[in-house]
Amino acid sequence: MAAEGCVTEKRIKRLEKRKTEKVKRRVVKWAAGGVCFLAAALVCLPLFLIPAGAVMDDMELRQMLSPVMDGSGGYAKWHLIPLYPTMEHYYRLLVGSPEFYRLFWNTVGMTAAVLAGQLLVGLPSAWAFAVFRFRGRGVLFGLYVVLMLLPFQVMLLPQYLVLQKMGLYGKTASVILPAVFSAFPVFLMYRGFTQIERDVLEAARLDGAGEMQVFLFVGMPLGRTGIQAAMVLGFLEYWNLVEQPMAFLEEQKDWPLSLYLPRLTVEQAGFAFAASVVVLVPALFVFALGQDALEKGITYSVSMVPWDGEKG
Amino acid sequence: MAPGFSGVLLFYLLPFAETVRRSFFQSGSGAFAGTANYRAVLHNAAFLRAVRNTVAYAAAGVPLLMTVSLFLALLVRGLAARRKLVSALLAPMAVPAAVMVLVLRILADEHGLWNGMFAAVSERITGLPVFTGADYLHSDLALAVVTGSFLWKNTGYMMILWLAGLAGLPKEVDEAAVVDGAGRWQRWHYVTRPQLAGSFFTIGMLSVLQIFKSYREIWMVAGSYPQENIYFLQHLLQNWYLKLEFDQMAALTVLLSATLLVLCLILQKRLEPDL
Amino acid sequence: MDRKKRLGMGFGIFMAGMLVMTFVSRVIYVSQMPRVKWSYFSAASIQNTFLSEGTLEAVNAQAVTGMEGLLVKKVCVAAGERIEAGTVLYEVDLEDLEMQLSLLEAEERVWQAQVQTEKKEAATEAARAAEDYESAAAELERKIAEEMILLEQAQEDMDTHMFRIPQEDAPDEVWIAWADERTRIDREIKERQRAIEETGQEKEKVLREAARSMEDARNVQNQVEGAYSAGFSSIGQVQEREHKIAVWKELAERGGRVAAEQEGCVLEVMIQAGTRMGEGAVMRYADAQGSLVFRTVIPQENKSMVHTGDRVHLSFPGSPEEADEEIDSIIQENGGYTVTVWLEAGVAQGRTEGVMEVVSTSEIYDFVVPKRALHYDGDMYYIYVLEEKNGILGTELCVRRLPVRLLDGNEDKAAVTDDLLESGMKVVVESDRELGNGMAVIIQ
Repeated sequence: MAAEGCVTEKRIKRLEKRKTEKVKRRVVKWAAGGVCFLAAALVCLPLFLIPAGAVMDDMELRQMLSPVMDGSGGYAKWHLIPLYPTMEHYYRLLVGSPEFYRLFWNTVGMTAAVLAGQLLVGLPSAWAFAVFRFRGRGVLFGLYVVLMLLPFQVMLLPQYLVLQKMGLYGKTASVILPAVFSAFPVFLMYRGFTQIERDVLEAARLDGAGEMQVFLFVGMPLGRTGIQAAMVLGFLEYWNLVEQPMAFLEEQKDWPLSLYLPRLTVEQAGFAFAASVVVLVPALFVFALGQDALEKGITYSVSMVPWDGEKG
Repeated sequence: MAPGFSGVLLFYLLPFAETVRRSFFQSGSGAFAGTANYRAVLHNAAFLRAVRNTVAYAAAGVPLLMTVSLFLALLVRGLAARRKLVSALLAPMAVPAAVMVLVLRILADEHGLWNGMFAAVSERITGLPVFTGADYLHSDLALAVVTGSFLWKNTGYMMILWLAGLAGLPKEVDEAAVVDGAGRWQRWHYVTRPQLAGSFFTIGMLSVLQIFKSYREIWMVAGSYPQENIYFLQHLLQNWYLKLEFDQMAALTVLLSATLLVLCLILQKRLEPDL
Repeated sequence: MDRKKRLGMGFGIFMAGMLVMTFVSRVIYVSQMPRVKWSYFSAASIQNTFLSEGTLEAVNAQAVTGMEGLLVKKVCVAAGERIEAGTVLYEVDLEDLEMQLSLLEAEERVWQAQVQTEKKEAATEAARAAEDYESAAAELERKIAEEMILLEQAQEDMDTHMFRIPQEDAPDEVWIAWADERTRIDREIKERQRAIEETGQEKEKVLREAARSMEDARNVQNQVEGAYSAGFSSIGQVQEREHKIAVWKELAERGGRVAAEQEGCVLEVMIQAGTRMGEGAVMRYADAQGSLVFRTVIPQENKSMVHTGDRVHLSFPGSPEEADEEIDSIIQENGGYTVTVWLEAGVAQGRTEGVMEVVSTSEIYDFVVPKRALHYDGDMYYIYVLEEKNGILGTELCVRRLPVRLLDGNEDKAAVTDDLLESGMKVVVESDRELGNGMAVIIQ
């Protein structure tokens, strides 16, 4: 009985211990969730200003933001919910501003051209780095990494010199071409390709596939996430291009939206908010579409940890 | 491979070589200038300030970003709402720079929302309207604001990287530690942290990349001649470019790339053991 | 996967929507653009026409002098009335006239009586003076006659003495006595001669004196006639009174009616029935054969358009007559300019008002635009010129507002100037809606 009791007692104790541990774990989990939620809220809160501001009328905006606009006394206020929601800014932007569309399609065109170019040029490079062992591969790759890290301003003068010489300065191509050859997507896609098991490639080769076929039918589908991640990151990057067009484009008609938006002042806040929302929409779509790929793709860039090496 | 590399050659390497050549000549007369351009750069007050600011910004921003994102990654890891939280934290990535700038202006102005909130809080506490807010972007706090917005924008990005690094860790080791009765802190300190060392360098590198890229927002919010604490090397280069001071610019370009190259060479062995 | 598909669809729809809205907004933008027409500046002169109303006046207007002091009984004509010679202009009160006349005649009689008395006295004086003269003259005549006799005796003595000349051999005493005698007689002759001469002179002197006193007496008489008596101080007034009496008498004979002497047109009547006439004209009328003069006052801003010698066109309200004449004079007068034009004889008879139409042609201006191309904002004039603008939408035509100074203008054209104007500028002359600075436009 005693032994039995002892056993039961032990069991009860163990159960209790497990229970307290469970409670403890739950508390920690809740705390962690709370902190994370708080952080997420903090990060997202400013973003709620934008869609709300886009539907406020000018009167309300001026009333709230006049301290920022003209430095008059008091502090700016913000209504989380607009008092008098209006679509006037959207209407003015979407119906009354052909300029906006011109710049919008400039941006779309520029982004699309850059991404297409990167696919066309960067994919083979990344594939070559991932699959082939050739002389100077290490040096070349190191070069790409350095180029990737160089801020644009450092390459400003060299690129200016070459664009000037090629007669591209002032043309849209002057923004697109250097971006096409940038190193970062190569790096990301290369990372994607290194995730492919070498055996798979070997098997394909053994089955009689040419290098081209291996690339197209094995490499591309399997390295898809890396490619997608590169494209999503590229989209977010080039959708917001500022320095390059500012340095190389002269005529307003070639500008991307990202150069036009900062010219909207706080006085035009409503219009700027509406424009911001419209600019944000494609970015959010692309982001939502590519989020999984992005997470995985970015993951690849980290998975160069030493014990991961046998995959590479 | 070949077209990609020829493009790199054409748009990056050859012009860079030309820039190196130029850095030793005078652009006006074409005369050989020796190291005159370099000396001019190194004695330039704006250059010294920009170097100091850039180093300070990087030294503050990169570790902060890495710590905060790692902390959040560790917290988020086990949660059910992980996906949603990550999405929320990643959202700033999609926000166009111009939008961010507009919001930041409204928030950080001397009469902006932040100061409004602080004033309200301080008045609630002291009962007196004593608070006088700073114009953040035009005061010594500018660097802090800039660093904050850098964190805001990139924490999600780096968090994913950390999560990826954490996901790559073999679960068995951690589980064994749990069985051995190790606490949370001990498990982090003795098991997780050492294993993350590899990710650490990659994430550090990408953080540096991001900190260079954050120049865009800084320039947009504060202009070509911002408060002196946030006058960075990029400002310097860009302003020289606009003023067509190509001699000094060439020298500075070479100097900066050389510095980055050396840094990369040092780090490369740790980054790419397989190359 | 499903979610991704939906997202992809959403993205596609969004982009398609943006594409559609691009065209929609473009169409709206273009449809809202002002459609304009333009032209270059022309170099031209500007013809300006302006009208100015004025009055007509007879050059040789006849003034009818009033009968000062008489009471008007009735005015028989009015301004603007045509009159013939003999048309009765006005009537005076007869009773009053006769009373006035009798008063005047009494005055005259008193004066005449006084004059007569004075005259009589003066005549007596003159007669006395003449008498004095005559007696004095007679005395001297007598004296002269005596002396003449003495002179003749002396001359006779001389003759006889010459016959008594002694012999050659006569003693010296004789000779001496004879010579003495001759010398004595000679001296006497000379004495007499001198006495006669002196007396003659004295007589003339007396005569002159007498004439002077007679003259004096006559003067006194004249003075009396002219200057004597109360109320009158000059001969003119006396004559006037006499004339007045004559006229009034005549007027009384005509029953107090004053008639026009010539045909013409009454311009102005300055008397009223029941009032006494004063000095000066009581009525004016234009001579039927005379010409008219047109006068009008033009404001400062039109001054530059008229010059002496310019031909102007005149018309007369209510009359089919028209005339083209030269401007004779332009005189600045209190804030305006009086323009005078003399009409030819017989033109616009009987009219009192006229309208002058001036057509002035300016110098050639470099920058002339149609009037509708010129705008005015209450403060300054401006025009819109077309220029190309490189904006976000590429190269667009837009209008730029240029302030200008207006040099000259009429209903169709305006001459402007400004340092910024160039002959190659494209001036917007027509727009189907209100323009603003910087607006993008479409050429119609």
